[in-house]
Amino acid sequence: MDNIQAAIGQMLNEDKRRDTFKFLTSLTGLKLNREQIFVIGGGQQFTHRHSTTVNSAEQQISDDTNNSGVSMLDLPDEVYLHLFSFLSPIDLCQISNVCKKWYRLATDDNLWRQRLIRDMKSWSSISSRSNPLSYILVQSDRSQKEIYLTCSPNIRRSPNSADESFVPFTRLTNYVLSWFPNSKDLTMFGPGLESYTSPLVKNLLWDESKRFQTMGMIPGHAGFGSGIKMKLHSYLFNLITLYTNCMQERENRTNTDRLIKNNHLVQTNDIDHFEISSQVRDVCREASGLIYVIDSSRDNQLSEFCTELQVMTREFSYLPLLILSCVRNNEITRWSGIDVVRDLQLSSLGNQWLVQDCCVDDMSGVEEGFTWLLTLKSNNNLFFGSTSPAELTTN
Amino acid sequence: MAGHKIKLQSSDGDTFDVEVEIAKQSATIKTMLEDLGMDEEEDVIPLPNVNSAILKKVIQWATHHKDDPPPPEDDENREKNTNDISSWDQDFLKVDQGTLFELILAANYLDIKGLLDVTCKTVANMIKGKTPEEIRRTFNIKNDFTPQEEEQIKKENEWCEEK
Repeated sequence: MDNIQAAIGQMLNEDKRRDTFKFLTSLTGLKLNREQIFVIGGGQQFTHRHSTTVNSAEQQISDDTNNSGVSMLDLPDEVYLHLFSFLSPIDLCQISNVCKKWYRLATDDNLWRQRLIRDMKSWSSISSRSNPLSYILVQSDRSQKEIYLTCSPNIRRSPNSADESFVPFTRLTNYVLSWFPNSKDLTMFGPGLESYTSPLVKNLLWDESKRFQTMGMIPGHAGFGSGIKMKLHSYLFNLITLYTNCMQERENRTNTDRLIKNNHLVQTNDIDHFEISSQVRDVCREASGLIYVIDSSRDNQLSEFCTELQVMTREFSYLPLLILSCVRNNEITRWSGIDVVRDLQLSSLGNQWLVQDCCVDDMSGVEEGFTWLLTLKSNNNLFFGSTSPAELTTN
Repeated sequence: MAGHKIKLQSSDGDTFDVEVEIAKQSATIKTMLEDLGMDEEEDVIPLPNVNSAILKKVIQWATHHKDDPPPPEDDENREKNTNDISSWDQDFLKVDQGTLFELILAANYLDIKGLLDVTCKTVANMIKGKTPEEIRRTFNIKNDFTPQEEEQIKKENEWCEEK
């Protein structure tokens, strides 16, 4: 009995082997056919170094650079896509000009989608108009390449663009700005002002690089809403910093405590429901921009910073919002911009916003953030700033 | 089993004795061995898509890299660098273009990730920083666009530059 079983087992194995070999031979057969086709067409050889039977003019030319008859164009699509995955987005734009095959492969949707998902984790600034998450959530009729190039902060669109929808939004010229000589009130608040990243304010007021200049004080009402007149490049602005409590209180509470022991917010009858206090409302009403400062060290849970922002922006969804995603120094592991977008639920805000990575000690990123806020055209939401589907459902 | 060998046969009929552990860097061969349950030294694996000159190079590469750690799983999620080609690989890949492309085809067919990556990186480095015309000349590619199409594609990309 055992013998029979073993014999059957062997037979089955033999069969399987034969099938595999049959399969392999069929591959060889296919290749031969292909070669014949190529001979008739006078094109290039496939894989064989030995079977060079073709001597068309084309073959002659390629032999100058290439001894075996295999050329770049013989590589299958999947190899091209792998090869292209080693190129930068700019390289991919360049090479789509080479020929039709390269154009098709260098604009491939999967290639760009994969790149977007990989790269967005490392982007140091993300705005409501360049929020890749809204494009990923929404079925967009844009190609993945367009989406990538629109969202990436590392690529600058030239203003000569033929496509009007790609208006660059960060850099208005000084000439245009001279039409709006009034200085703006910028209201700055957030948990990042009251944590390890709190020296941000001091570093702004005494900026060693002199990019930020302090011009003077402006008085507030009853100790609230006083600010500092400042200048960045040629832009004048009043920076109004709102702390939620006196320093002693601030230092003795946790992030969750912060919501309750917070002078900005008033708890309503509903225990989990907060509203903005009237003093803060008065200050924000005069403002032309909001700045929310958070400490984005991995030691913090970003979701704890969500409620305060949602309450503070609820009545001021028309104001542009800058989120300074700070760490004290570059040794600290940080949450990336895309994590902030997700955990603070920025897609649900009506505001135009920008998340900017900053480092408090060397002040990197701070200037970029303020420049965005100071040069933004007011209330000009071109893309998803005010029309994201998430917002439609929350309102 | 250390030192255990199998035979690989190239498209032009030459056979090569290769240690199983070295040959298994090819996922194609690894799967084939496991599926067929091959263990006798007489068994020959035919590789109809690879000629002997290329197979020799592939075996040379795999022998040198036999102790490499396996590539990380989340490879596709990381920034890809083309400046990390080892000097041994650089010397190994100082070959004419045809051979380089044949190596790529072989690495793809045999599914040897390390070899496919390093050959693709080498070609990527030949592409980087070149104008389309320079690329066409380098790889002997014919420009098959009409002037209108070419103009259109230029427009699509002209607004894009590195910050």
